[in-house]
Amino acid sequence: METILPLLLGYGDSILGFPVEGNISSLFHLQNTLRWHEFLAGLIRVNKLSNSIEFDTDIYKFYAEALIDIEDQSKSYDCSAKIKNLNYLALELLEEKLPGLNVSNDFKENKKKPRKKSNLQQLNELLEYEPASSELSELISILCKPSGALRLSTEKMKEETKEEPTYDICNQPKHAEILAGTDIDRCVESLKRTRKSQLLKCLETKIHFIPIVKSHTDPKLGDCSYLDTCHKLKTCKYLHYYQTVPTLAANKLPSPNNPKLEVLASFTKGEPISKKICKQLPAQWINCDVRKLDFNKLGKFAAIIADPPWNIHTNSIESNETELLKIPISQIQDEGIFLLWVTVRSTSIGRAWLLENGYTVSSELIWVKTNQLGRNICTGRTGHWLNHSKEHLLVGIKGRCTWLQRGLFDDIILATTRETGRKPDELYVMVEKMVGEHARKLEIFGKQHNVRPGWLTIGNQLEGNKVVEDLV
Amino acid sequence: MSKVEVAHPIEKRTTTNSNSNKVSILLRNKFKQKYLAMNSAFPNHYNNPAKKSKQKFIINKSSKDYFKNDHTNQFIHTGKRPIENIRNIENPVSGYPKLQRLLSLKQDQINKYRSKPFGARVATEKMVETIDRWVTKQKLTFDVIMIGGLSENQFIYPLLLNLQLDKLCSKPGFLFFWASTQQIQQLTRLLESSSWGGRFRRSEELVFLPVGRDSKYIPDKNDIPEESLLQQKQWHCWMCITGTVRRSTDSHLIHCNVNTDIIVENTLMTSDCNNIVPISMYELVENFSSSTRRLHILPASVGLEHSLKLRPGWVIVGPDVLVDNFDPSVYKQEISSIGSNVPSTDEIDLLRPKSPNRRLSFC
Repeated sequence: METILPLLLGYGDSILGFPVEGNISSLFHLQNTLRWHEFLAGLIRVNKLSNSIEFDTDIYKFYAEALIDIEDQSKSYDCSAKIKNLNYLALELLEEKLPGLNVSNDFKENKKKPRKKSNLQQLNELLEYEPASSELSELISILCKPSGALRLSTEKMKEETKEEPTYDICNQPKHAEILAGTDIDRCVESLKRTRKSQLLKCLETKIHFIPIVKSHTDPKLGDCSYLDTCHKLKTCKYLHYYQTVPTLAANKLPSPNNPKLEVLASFTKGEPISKKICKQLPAQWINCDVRKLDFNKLGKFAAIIADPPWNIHTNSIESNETELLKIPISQIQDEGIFLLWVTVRSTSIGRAWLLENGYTVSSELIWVKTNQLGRNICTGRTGHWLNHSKEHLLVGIKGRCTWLQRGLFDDIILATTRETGRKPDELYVMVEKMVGEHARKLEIFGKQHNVRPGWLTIGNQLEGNKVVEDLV
Repeated sequence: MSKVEVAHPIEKRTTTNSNSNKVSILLRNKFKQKYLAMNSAFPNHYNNPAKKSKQKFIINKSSKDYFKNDHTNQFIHTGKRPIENIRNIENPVSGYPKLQRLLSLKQDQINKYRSKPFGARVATEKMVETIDRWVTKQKLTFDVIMIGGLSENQFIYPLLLNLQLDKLCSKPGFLFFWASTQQIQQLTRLLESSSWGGRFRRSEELVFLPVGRDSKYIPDKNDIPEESLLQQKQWHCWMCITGTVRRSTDSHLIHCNVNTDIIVENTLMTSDCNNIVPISMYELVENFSSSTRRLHILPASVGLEHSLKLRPGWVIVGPDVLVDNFDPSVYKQEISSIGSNVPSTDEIDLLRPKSPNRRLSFC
């Protein structure tokens, strides 16, 4: 009784509909507390008390059979009997008359929801059940386990890299509201006095963005599409922000000129033996027309980044794509990686060019652009049909490259936008980790902001030349 | 830009900070020690009157120079994947009330003019035959066709070779092909081949990014990590256009720049949890094209990890479709009663992003 009544009430109309269709044996499988004969007995009892169930055949016959076969479990569920009609009112009345019955929780919720939901929703919900783990998925998980070499490399990379402080960004709009109202310094002072420590604590651990409200700002309009990169800060009606950053221990921390980290891992891959005494080369650059440079004189490189001025940048000399494709990259790389920034239109040209030069395009790196507030950009950007909030970088590999550190990173960079066309510096770090800090690295079509220790930058928008290596 | 830019960019970033004297580069182990010490001693430190005057945070008043988190560095040290740091995963348009209003208005309008959900259960080997029959006998055409989903097991290439796609797709029409990074190359080559090149122009490349380590959408799970240079964490989708459509004049057909070319997995939306194509992708397509005739083909089984749900306004064809209720003549009747395009409203037209060309022509 305790199971049957809630079951009937809980499933309601769906008992008579597809796929149960009133079939008693199907109904039996919807619960798992009762045994077959108990289940039938329950049904009969409910019917006796409320006279609410209309069967298509004589249910007692099946009950009798069930009692005979109590011991034999396998035989039991073959039952062709069906429920033809259910009188819900009678069932509900019965439920009310039996106060001891604990129908309320599980089944009642069940009862209310399905009746409101459309058939499609019900169907979709069924699809969300997770399948039990199979042998296949176990095998896959074994295959997916990172190898020892990868784990060592990851650990080594961690040891050798300086940790930069990162802070979460406060997600409570209330905090920004409080701070935006008045002068921030005064606000903070009063906070200290009133001991509203929650906000103060949050300020000390998280980054806050506080809206700048000026006479021309209309807060109802929402954020500016360009935020910190907005060119019309003085007239823009949309919201802009300034920032508070926790310094936490900044006052006590050593200055940047402290000695370098002296961690040397016993595990190396693709690095010179004399790494400890090797000094990283300073930044080098050559201002030149890339089309006319004699590439034979540059030597070989382990990694090359190119951000070619595809036709969209018209003010650059090197805008002709056919000329770009003539650059003899095979002269400067025998084995290594080539990273090529492409646009939607030029992706196939870039791919074909890499293939022609003996590369295989193994990955594609996506730079997910974020704005000042750490959100993925969703408005105000270029793009003909859709807004563009990412850039593609083709990653070509040439040769066997046994020295290359593979699988260290995901194929995603998350970084904020800066000047138009300027790519994130995070890429350099990733490349340095992959090819090693001491490997020779080249950037073609670089600008002054691209120069970086350990890298040679060439392009026609650089200021003068600086070359240290004798080789070049 | 000054010449001093030679400095290490990460260092540079902090030195350009307006309160540069207070910010300093932290050495890893020392930082860690102090950080931990600070954390544990935090309440005492905070109550200590001697230290009270020292501010524990700085205020960057200018909106130009500000501190940025280095998520690659964070990944190296904590293993937190960069993508997890995006702050608008839950609501991609947070901060933009106009855009929010536009998106909800558009979805309301789309819901008003949509067919009921249709499914056609067709075995992989009968796919081409069945669809060809619709085209030739029933003269059925669609304006929006999506092929494949977030599953490697889709064999889009052979299907495309055999399907009379140019007859199935009306002009102008919009196609969406899903692929992993590996498959996209093959697909790109096909789209550029002479027989295809002219007819379907590659217009945008969409990217879907799964969030979280255990996401069901992470591609190529059986790929050995060391073989590829980077760990694959993305899906690609080519958006192709056939026929002529102009974004400045054809606003009855398309609304441009409503969505972006990135879809980040919404981990908080439970109804989305394992569908073969994320709901947000369907929404993106519906927001872009106003057509009500939408077809989604899944050439092969979607596997155990994903499910294939029906969606109102779409005809979904595949071997794994649960409900087999598609009848071309019934469908044609329904479309003729709701119209082949979702009409726009005045408010939507006011709010939607317009192409700059239009404004130029007024000048």
